Amino acid sequence: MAKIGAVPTTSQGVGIRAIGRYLPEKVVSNADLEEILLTRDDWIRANIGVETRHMAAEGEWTSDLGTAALLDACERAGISPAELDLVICGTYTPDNMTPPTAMLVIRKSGALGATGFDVNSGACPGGVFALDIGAKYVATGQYRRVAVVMADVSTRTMDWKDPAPAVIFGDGAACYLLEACTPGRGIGRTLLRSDPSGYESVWVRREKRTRRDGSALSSGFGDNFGALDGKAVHAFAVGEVPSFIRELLDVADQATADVDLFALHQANLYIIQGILRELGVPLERTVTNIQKYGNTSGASVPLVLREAEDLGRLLPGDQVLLAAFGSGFSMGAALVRWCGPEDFEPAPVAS
Amino acid sequence: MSTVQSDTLQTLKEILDEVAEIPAERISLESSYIEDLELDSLAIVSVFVLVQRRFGVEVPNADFDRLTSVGSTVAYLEDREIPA
Repeated sequence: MAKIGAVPTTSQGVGIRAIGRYLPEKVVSNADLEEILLTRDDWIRANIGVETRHMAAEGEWTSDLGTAALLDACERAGISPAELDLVICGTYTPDNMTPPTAMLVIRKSGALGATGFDVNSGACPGGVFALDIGAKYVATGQYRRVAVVMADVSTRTMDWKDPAPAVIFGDGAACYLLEACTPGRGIGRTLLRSDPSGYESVWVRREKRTRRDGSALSSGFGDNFGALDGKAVHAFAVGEVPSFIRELLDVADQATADVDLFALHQANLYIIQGILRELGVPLERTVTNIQKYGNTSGASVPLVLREAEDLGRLLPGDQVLLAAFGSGFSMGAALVRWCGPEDFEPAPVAS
Repeated sequence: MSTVQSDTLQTLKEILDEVAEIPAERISLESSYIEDLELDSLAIVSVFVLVQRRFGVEVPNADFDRLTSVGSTVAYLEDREIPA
């Protein structure tokens, strides 16, 4: 059952106890895309940086990806899904328009008793927006253990005649498992911002589309199609995100040199490099996965964190800066002092 | 213009129609892909994928980056002229 009000103190921090992940089994290379799209492997590598991406199997939906990521997070933390109090699912590709996909994640994972709802903060920015919401519930003490599941099946929104989104996106999921932690550790200052002037720059557009022969065309979401103005997104990301990151660092009285790892949204390899160049940060202080996974929407930042942890690039006590940005335009950034197991209450011993 | 040139231009017009639904009457040898025909870089890649298929030639990235107009593409295909 939900342990509402279990941690009412404000002196504790909110930490990321574990990050779970799931990538669908099917891997699609650029050469595979050349078979169905008018595009080229060498161009994609040179301009986007993607080499392969994962694609959900037929019948595999957002809740399946999210459930697998949640179960992985619970396993890493040594807890049962039944011990979760709140499940927030960050997605723009819900299994159905309602009920929330979080309901299916709760049902499929066995997190029965947890409260659940979805957050649609515009796909990619969700990696920080949804995390911030979950962290605030833990901070107030309303919920003790919160799973923030980031899951999307972006490839289902594709019009496979339109290479702009199709060469960039991949499917994937990740899950932040949040709990109270040692004061001074965990999630610190966060900053969220939105600018609706970029509404049409990267979006899932509702419109009727037809093939050249006049027959109706639909995506996995019917008359909804992923659409992207790459030039506008690049200009926004490299133009706005560095100063936004600096603003967060200023508010927290930190400098770029105080950040051990930059976990940036995997929009495009050259956008990541452009942001770091603007910040004067060497590429060695980031980890990228866009080469293998493409742009996995809101899951990309937690997938970077998980990978960094597995590589030994993110250790307890390290300061990491998370930045997620995109559709909206919206951008979110957070400073996190990474936790180790000793920063959390021990997991209960299974009886 | 020779018959060979007309065929090349005609095929290129068909490709531009297929990729971006650009009417043939909007296209001339002087048309630039970006300024006049309003193609983005991904669409230009698509054009050259079809150019390779229809003409049976390899067009490396480095070459098509310099082929910025319909005329320069026709000259490249017919005479292997690469703009400086």
